[in-house]
Amino acid sequence: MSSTPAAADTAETDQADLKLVKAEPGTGPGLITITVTSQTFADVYFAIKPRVKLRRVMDLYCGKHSLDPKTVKFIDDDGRFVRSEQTPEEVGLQDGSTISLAIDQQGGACICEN
Amino acid sequence: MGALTDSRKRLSADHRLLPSFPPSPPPPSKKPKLAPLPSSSSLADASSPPPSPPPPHPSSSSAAAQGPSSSYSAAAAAGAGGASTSYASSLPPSRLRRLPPPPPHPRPIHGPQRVLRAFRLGSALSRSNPSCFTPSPSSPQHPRSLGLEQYVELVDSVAHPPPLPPSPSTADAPSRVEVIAVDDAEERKDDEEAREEEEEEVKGSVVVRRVPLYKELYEASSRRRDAKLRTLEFEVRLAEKGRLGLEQLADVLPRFGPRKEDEPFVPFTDEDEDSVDHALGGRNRRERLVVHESSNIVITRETLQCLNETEWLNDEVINLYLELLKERELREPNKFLKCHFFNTFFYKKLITGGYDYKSVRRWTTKRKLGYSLLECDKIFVPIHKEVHWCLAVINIRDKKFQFLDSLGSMDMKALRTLARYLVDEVKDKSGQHIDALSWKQEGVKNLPLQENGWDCGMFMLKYIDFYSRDMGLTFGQKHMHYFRKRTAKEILNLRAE
Repeated sequence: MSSTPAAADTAETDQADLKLVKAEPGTGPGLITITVTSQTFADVYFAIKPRVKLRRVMDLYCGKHSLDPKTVKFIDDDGRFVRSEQTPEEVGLQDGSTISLAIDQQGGACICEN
Repeated sequence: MGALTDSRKRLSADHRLLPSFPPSPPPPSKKPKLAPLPSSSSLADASSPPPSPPPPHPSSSSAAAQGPSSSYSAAAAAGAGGASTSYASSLPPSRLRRLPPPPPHPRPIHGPQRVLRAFRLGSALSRSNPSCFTPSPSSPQHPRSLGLEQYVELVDSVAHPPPLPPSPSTADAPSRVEVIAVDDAEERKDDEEAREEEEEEVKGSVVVRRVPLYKELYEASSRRRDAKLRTLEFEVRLAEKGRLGLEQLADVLPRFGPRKEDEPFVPFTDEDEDSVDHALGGRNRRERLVVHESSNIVITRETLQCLNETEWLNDEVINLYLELLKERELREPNKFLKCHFFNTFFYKKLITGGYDYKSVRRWTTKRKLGYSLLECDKIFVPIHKEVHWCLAVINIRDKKFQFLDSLGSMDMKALRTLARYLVDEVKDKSGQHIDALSWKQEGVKNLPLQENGWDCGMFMLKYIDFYSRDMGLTFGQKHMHYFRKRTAKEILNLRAE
C-alpha cells in the first residue's frame, strides 16, 4: 500500500501553492502528522499545526482525488464526525492520529420495473 | 391623631359642665325666650284645633320642673340667631301656642354623665334629679388629676359609647338566655401569689430564688425549642402524607394519560406545521438550521429537504435522528429500553477488507459511551446498501440477531458479521467469551413494507423508534407523510419525543 505524503501549510494560500513534502510522524517543530484513510484510495499523511483548521487538509485531499468536499465526511478513530471548521486540537487529534474518509450515503430503494 | 384631639376638645367641653365649675351665665339678650320651633308636621298639627283643650301657659316654676331637657332646649332657643326670632315674631298668635311636652324616652348618655362614669364619680344621672347640675356650695367637687390609664379609658368611652339599652318593644321577644359571669379574680390572685411564693423567698432585703436563674432560662429555651420541634414534626408528617399521596397519584395517572400506542402518532400543532413547512420549503439552501454539538452534525436546509415527499433520506438526517433517540432514552430511562445506536458508517467501516474489528474497536470504549454493549437490551446497526437502507438488530435481551428490510429481503451475511463482532467486542472490553454465533438469526416476519421507491430510510428510522419503545411495528405506508414531518420537527427542535 503506497503512501502519498503531503503538508498543509499554516498560511492561507491556495492549493496550488502547497508543497508536497515527505512528512513522517513527529517531523518539524510544532507539527503533528495526521493520516487520512479511505476504502478506495491510498492513505495520505498530512503534517499540520494543531491550531490550523482541518478544512485545509480536507480540501487538499479532495482536490488530490477529485472529490466534492460537500459529498464526503471525515470520522475520527472514536467514530465522531470531524467538521472542517474544527482544528486538530479541538477534535483531540494527536501526532499519528487517523481520520477516515466516508462518502455520503443516500437511499430510497428505487424499485426498477423490468 | 385627629380622633384624639376631638376627644380632648370634648373632654374640655365636658369639664365645663361638671358641677365643680360654676356654669357660665347666658349672654344677656333682650330677645324673648321662645320654645324650640317644632317641625313642619307638628306645626300643621298645631294650626288645626286640637281635640282637647290646650294646657295653660306654663309658669316659670313649671318650666323649671320640666327638667334639664326643657331648660336646655330653652337655652338653645335663647342662643339662636335673629332669624328664628324674626320668624317667631312673624307667626300669628295662634301659632305661638306652646305644645305639650313629648313623652319621656330613654336618651343616650351625654357628655357630663360619661365624664362622671369615667372618673367613677357616681352612676348615670337620672332625668328626675336635675339638681346635680347645680353646684352645692357646701361640698365643692374638683375633678381628680387625670392619670394615663384614666385618660385612655375616657377616650375609649368617648370613641366607643356603651350600647343603648334594649327598647321596650322587644319585651315580647322569646325569652333570653341569662349569662352569669363567675368572677374568679380572687382565685387567680391566690394562684399568682402562691407561684410567686414558690419562686422567691425574701430573706431580709435579699431576694433568694428557690429555682436558680440558669434553670429558668434553660426551661424557657427548652420550651421554645419544643415548640419548634413540634412544628417541624408536624411539617415532616405533612410532607410524608404529601409524598404518599403523590405516589398513589403516580400509580393512577398513567391510566388517564395518553396510551403508549398513541405516543408515536401525536398530532401536529399549527406552529409545528408552519415551522416545518418553512424549513422544508425555504430557498436559502446553504442556511444552517441546526448544529448538534455533541455529534458534530450540521443540518443545512438542503440536507433537511431530503425529508420532503419522494426524497431519499441522507446519512446526516439519519445519524442525527439516532443521536436524538439516544438522548431521549437518557432523558426518560424508565420509558424506553436501554439501547445503543450505531451510526450509518459503522457497518461500512466494520466490513472494510472483509472484516476489520480493529478499525471500530475504539468506537465503543466505556469512557466514550459510559456503558458496555452487553448492558443494553438492543443494539441497532443501520446498513446502507448502495441505494437502500435496512436495519440489523442485536437483541441481547432475547439473545438473537434480527434483520429488518422494508423491501422484505434478508441478509444472513450481515447477521453473521455482527455475531462475530459481538464476540470480539465482549472479549476485548471485558475479557469474557460469549457464544453469540449460536444465537438465533432471523428476519422479522409481518413487517410493515414500503410501497414506493423512496421511503426505505423512513421505514428504517421507525423500526428503530418503535423497537426502542418496546412496541410492535404498528405503522404502515400511510403514516410515512406524517413521520417525515414529525422527524423534521424533532430535528429542528433537537429533541425526539
